[in-house]
Amino acid sequence: MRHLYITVFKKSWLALFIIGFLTGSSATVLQTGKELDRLHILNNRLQGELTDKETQLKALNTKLQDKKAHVVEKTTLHIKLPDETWASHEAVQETLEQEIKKILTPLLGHPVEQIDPEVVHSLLHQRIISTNQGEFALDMKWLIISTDLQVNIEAVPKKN
Amino acid sequence: MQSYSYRFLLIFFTSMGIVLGGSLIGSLAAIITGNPPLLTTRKLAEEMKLWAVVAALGGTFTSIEVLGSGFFLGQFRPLAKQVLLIIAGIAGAEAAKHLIFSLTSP
Repeated sequence: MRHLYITVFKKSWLALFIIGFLTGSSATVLQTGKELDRLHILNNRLQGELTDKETQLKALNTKLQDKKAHVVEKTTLHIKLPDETWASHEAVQETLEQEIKKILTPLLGHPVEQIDPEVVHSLLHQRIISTNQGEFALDMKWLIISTDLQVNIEAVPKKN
Repeated sequence: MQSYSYRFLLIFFTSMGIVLGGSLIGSLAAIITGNPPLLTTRKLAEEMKLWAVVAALGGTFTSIEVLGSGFFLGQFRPLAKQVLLIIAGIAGAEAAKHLIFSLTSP
């Protein structure tokens, strides 16, 4: 009898607890629901904005890369010196490279389509450059116009 | 034998209770899963109305049978009573929906 009483008592307690829990939870939902709803809507809006910004950023990056792809970014020089034994062969080459790069610097950042090969040719061909080892006349062999502007030049020592 | 007024009120309050309890306790799922609770409560109240009426009437077969016999056998008194019971169910569910909507209005 006592055992039955405890069981019934416990069951009713448990039922009361569950009902109380559900009632309390529902009341809490009603009380805090407005704020939760507001935060949820705000969160959704911010997520949407974030997605928009990410898409914009991606599009801008692509655009920037496209833009970059058509602009001269660097110059590469292939300088050929006559097979003569000079003491400072490398130094001459270095000086020539520096001077030619200086001449080509204005072309950096220019759109590839706008670069006229004739202009580059006239800038470099038969140009005289002075070094410690004397003067050199540049003989332009070929030219590649791309983001990497490549010029092949043969430097001929000028005989005085 | 249950009196008609008892059945009428029983259906009214049962359908009301189904909508109230269903939507309020159902919204706990929204809290647990991170969804908006009040929007869920309102949605549940709206969607549960019809089922609350059906459940409160105690299944649809009896009502349909009564409606059928009312129409085809000319028994208009039970037909009117049944229609009133259905209206009581709808009224209870509708009242509960309005209560929920006014409690959860933004």
